[in-house]
Amino acid sequence: MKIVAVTACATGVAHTFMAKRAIEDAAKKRGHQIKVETQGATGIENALTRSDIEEADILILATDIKLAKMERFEGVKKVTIPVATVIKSANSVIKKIEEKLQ
Amino acid sequence: MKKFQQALMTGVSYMLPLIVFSGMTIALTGMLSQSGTLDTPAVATLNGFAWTMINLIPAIFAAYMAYSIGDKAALIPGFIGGYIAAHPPVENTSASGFLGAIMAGFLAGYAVLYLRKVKVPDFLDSIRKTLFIPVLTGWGIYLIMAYPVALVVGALNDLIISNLITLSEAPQYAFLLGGILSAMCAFDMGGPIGKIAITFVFAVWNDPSGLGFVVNAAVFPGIMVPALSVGIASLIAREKYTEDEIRLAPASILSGLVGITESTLPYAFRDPIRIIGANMIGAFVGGAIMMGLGISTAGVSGVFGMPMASNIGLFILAILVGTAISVSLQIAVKKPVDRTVQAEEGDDADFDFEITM
Repeated sequence: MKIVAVTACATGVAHTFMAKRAIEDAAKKRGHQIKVETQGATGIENALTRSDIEEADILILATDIKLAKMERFEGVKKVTIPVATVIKSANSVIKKIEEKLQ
Repeated sequence: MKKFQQALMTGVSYMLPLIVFSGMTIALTGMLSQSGTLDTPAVATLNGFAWTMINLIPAIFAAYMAYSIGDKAALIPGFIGGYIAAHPPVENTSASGFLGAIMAGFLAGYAVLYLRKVKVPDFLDSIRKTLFIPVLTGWGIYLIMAYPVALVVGALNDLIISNLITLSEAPQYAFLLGGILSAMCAFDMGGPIGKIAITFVFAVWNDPSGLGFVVNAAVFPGIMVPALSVGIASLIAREKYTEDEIRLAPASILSGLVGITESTLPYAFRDPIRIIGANMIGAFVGGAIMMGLGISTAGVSGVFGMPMASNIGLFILAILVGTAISVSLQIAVKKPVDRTVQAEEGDDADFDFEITM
């Protein structure tokens, strides 16, 4: 499966990047390809390109705040969850997505 | 509710740099002119400018809160409302402060969201975007914020602040307030409870009495003690921490020093009650010392708040005492790790979500 994700928290210093690492590890462990964009304190990093988004099977939005450039994701299959859920339970997030996409 | 919470977080997210800039500038210029090292008109002007910026914080907060709800068109109506919350235009009314700014952001956001959905004939559509939305919501927000909100919430805000000033000046209550604020931050390590404490600090940040800087110092132990103490404790009592936790220790101590409480989370997930309990007690004592002794700082983020403290020695002492208490408690109550069992992935699957388009 190809996964794309965006992470963002209020401060944009710690949770954003912890969630990125957690979801990357969990996805790789289960044999998926993943790319994660962060919308942290300094802005967008590792931005998802149009082809990233088009090719992805699922988009994970792990955020506590309003994300920038949401118009990119119109009509894309997505799940929206709090940042804390990803940090705490990234493996379960990936597993649940697999189940629901079946 | 979720949208409202997201709006609050978005507001906080965008106003933070302004808080950091103005707080640091005020602290630095204050220090330079008071110590006599650089007591020039230029420094005094910069200090005044930073205070002007501090008074814009409610406006920026409300603007981005409204933006989160109603998108671009809501930004300026939110700004207008938030500005009024800090600068009441009508005589005999008071600043409604952060409470007012939250209301302004909420009202402006939903007003714009609603006006964008109203059906109008095609020929009016462009006028709606350029004229109706900014002017009508601007007037509406002005009327609401400048009269009822400035009167009622303004009075309430005055009452809260004057009571808090009384509390913070009476040592027998001040230590309790400082302890509670600090323990709140230690409780969920960068989560919503701690954010309430920090939001409270920001809410009184621009009060001329300097109360904001006193409560600001009080939350420092809550921010720094957890990450410092899990790091130190895991290095001292190695048998009670997993290998991962010991490996994380230096990073955790560093995070604690710069004020990133979140690095405590991995430790807390594995053993929540003992870790969070110890941290809260340590943080409570640290915060109580800080505020009981009336220490203030305008700096933010861990050790960067230290040079700006009104009494650097006591500031460090409060944090050291809090950390020492938390470290000893952790070592005392934690159970040795059984290294033969591979630690289960601490994954809590108790949540749900839906796939949407």
